[in-house]
Amino acid sequence: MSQKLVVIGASTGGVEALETVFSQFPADIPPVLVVQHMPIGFTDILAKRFNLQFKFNVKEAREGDEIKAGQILIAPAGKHMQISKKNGRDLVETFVGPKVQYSMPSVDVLFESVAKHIKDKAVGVILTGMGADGADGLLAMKNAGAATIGQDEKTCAIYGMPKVAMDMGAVMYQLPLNKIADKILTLAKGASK
Amino acid sequence: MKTDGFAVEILNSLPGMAYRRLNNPPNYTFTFVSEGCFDLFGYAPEELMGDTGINLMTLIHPEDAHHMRKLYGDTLEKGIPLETSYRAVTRNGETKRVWVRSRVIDTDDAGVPLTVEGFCIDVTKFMRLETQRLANRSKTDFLSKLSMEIRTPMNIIMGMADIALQDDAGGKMHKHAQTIKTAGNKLISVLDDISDYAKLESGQLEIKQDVYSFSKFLREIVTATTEKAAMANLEFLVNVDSNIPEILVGDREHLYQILANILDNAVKFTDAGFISLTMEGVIEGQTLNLDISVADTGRGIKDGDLSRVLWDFSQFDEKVVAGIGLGLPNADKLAKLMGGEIKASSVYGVGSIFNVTLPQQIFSHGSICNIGNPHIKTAIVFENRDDYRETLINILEDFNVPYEVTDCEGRFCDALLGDEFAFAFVASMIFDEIKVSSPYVLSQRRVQLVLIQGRGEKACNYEALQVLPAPVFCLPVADILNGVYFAAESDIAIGKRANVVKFTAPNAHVLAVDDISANLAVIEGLLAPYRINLDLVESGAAAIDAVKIKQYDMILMDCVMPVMDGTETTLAIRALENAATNCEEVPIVALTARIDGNKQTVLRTGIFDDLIPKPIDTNKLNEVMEKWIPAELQMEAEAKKAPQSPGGSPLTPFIKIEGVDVAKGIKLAGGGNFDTYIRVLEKFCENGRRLLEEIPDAVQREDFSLCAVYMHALRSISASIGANLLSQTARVLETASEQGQAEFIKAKTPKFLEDLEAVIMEAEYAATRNRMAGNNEEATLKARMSDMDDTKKKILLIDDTETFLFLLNDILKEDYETFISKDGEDGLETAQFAMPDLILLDIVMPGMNGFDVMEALKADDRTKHIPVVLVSGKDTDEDKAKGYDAGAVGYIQKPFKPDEVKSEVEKAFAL
Repeated sequence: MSQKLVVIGASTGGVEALETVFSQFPADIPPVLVVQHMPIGFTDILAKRFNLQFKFNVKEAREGDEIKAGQILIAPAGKHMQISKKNGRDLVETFVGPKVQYSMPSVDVLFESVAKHIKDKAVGVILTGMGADGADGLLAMKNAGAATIGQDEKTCAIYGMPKVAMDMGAVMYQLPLNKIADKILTLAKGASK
Repeated sequence: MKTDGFAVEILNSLPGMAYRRLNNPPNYTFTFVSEGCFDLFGYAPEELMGDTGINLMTLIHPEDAHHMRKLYGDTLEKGIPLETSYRAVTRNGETKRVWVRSRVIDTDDAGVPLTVEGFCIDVTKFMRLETQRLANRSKTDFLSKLSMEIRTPMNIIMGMADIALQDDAGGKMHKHAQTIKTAGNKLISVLDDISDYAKLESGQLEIKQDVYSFSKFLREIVTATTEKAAMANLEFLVNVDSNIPEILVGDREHLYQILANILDNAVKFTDAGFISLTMEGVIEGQTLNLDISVADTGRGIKDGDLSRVLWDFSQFDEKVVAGIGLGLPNADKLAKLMGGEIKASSVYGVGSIFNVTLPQQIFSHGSICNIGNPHIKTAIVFENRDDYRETLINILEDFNVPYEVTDCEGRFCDALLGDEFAFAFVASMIFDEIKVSSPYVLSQRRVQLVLIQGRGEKACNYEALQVLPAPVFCLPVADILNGVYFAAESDIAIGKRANVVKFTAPNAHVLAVDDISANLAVIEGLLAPYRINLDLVESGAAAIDAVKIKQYDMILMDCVMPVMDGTETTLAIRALENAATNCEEVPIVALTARIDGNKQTVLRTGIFDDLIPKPIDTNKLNEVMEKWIPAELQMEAEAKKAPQSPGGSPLTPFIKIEGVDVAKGIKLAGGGNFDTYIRVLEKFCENGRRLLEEIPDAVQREDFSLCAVYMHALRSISASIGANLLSQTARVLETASEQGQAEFIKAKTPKFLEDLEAVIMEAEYAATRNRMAGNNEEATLKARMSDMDDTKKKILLIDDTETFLFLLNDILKEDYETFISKDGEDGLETAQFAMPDLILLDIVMPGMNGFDVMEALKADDRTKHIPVVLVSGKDTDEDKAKGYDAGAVGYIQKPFKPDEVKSEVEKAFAL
């Protein structure tokens, strides 16, 4: 993998935030995984809509999907999404389990699997949202050597999840929404060395 | 006054007040009141009885007092019981509506009332409800009337627009007329919504139980929505469970309406992105639970508004959107009436999902898609658009069709030239590139090429190309795999297909009756292209006069006319005695704008033969004309005949070409489709003739590199039509040419060219015959029959899968005269015509299945004696038993061996 893996977690206000970030991405993006809290059925709509809207591929993640550059996978509502290594390849796993942080998919589940398998070759991002999902996972990622970003209070619809992560010391860069895309791209390039 | 204790107890337990009083104005002294008086007026009985100053009159509302006093005087004093309601005022000043009934029980000698008994009760609540009900009813009545009032002038407007469209094709007026029609159609759909709403509100709507074809239903709704989505610049995705049973029982029309409303709504509120339709069916015994979802990337609905969507007229967005918001409330009410429900969920800013669950009854368990021999219909898929590719792959998997996905042009081109695949699905954009980069591969391909045409992509004209237009879903894919041909031309657009008049009838006489002359003008205009003799009259009486003196072939009768309406007029015409004309049997077609006069109701009365709803739809009018104008009066229209519907010629005459394996050719060149194969065959003849002239020349000049090119071309086109020997020889000569073996080439070429010419001649003959058969099937069939050897027994083979047809034909043609049919309906016709001695019948076929065909055969006196042997891949005992029950004399299991077939046939003849 020449570019780092980008993982993004978001909840309330996240759709607009994701749209802003994606609209600043070029066509040749690094691999991106997204957990956006949403009712069942809507993550598919969201993915298809983004797919029509942007030059890169966006799709709802399925069990066994390969993680590759130029593609954004959105965790399906009603299932957790995590990364696993099979035969040296990074694959997506989706499964139904207990809710984590009152959510399924949970940002923590994804981030913690990334901390475990990808370690420092990843960028973690927490965007606007209510609650505390993702903070523990982001801290785990940071401790594993990954770069981490949190959205700032001013541009958040709800400064909940990013605040908990910030307070915990999991956020390395706290940024306004319109600066996040650039930072992601810069940080993701690091892996080629 | 003494009252029986038991009676008092009962009176006291009644709601309301029973009383007895003296008629002693102005005191009106109560001598008895029941305990209900407390609840009614707020007084205890003892506070009212005796001269307490409070009596019935003082309890009346001042505004009603005068009126009531008069009533009491008028009725009671004349000895008539009084029954009325009025406003009373209670102790605490509350106004109540009270119903009273009273009568005089005792008079003096002069007849003046002495004592009055009565009963009062509080009816305030009932009155309020009743008032509301009346108001509601007048509202729905008003809506019904309103929509009818608008409908009549709309009829005229739409009719005139149609006339303009027929008159001035292509001119500037044409565009204006088209605009009028489009706007008018929109208005009519609003009217439909209003009248549905009125019907639903008043509970007049009836849920029907019709037998219908689900695939037809599906095609209709997908076609309509595809157009609307395309106009709104939206992607439309369809995902339908191919296992849904084909023949269902339910209210098709209203199911359509529910879905159309929801889909229209999705299109209307989505600015960009897509809408999707997903259908799944869960079978429980004889019930199919349909689970239908419509998702969109529209604005979504805010949480608080969601519950209102389904029952309110309001539209929630500030942005003005066309329509009046009746669609969804109507859909919701309809779904409930049909035993289902609609749920809506939405994420504001992302989109909405509407979910409809509805039960339908299963008529028969065959599913909407049947693929014959999926294992030989191998497919390669080259499509870079995720949505299309994944949908197609899911469908192929569902069908058990082996497939390969590629994103490599080289691999794809190899596949086109090889034998590995029968079908190649390719994105139209990629196809355009291949057309430029590898035209040779396309011209030499041996695989049926299918173009996946996305929304807004131009239709591409390329030989023998099939098109799979978006949205990709199971039905069109099944059609392609089953060899139903889709033209690449895009002239099947609705606008062009409409207004096609199929015949003229200069000798037909038609009478039109309508009291509004503008309507008559519309009818006259619409019928003008038929060149019929049209008489117009403006009243029922005039119509009766007309039919007395003239014989008509059809009468168009307006239903609503003053003096004598359409029904009365029709009955009068039927009852005309001693008429020299055909009054009793002339077809009379009702024209009706009545929204409640639905087709069934009007036709059920049996008075009319058919019905055309107003505003008159030209397609419907054409249909009626075709049905009722006697066939012998219908003449071919001068304009070119409308292109034949997809599906190719229903009867596939078997062709034989010496030196050519036709069955193999059909698979290779035709992708399993006979018509395609014939086109390839014609191409082969054309190219072959040219090469016949050029090859000797090249050999003469010893230009062997040119020879090699010619031989190479001949090698592949011969192989693709199934001319194996020719292809092999061409290959040898190709190699020899490459190596420059002059002697060998000069020696072998003349014989080769002779063989080539023989094959070309055979092929030309076969193709021409097939074309004639397409134009005049019956004639060919007759010609074939006269060719036949009378001593041989005749066997009719009916199977939707060509491979099996050819196999069976090969096995049996030596010993019997064979006829073949590709589907049940055609089989039935052939059976009636050819009178075979035995029928071999496939069970699983699209449309009419084997059992349906058997039933039809047995129902017809001409064919009921013909023994039937069933042929099927189904080996359940149940099916066998069902077959024998239906009267089959034998059963052949697929796949079969030649000997099995022969012995089963012999057995059948021995019976």
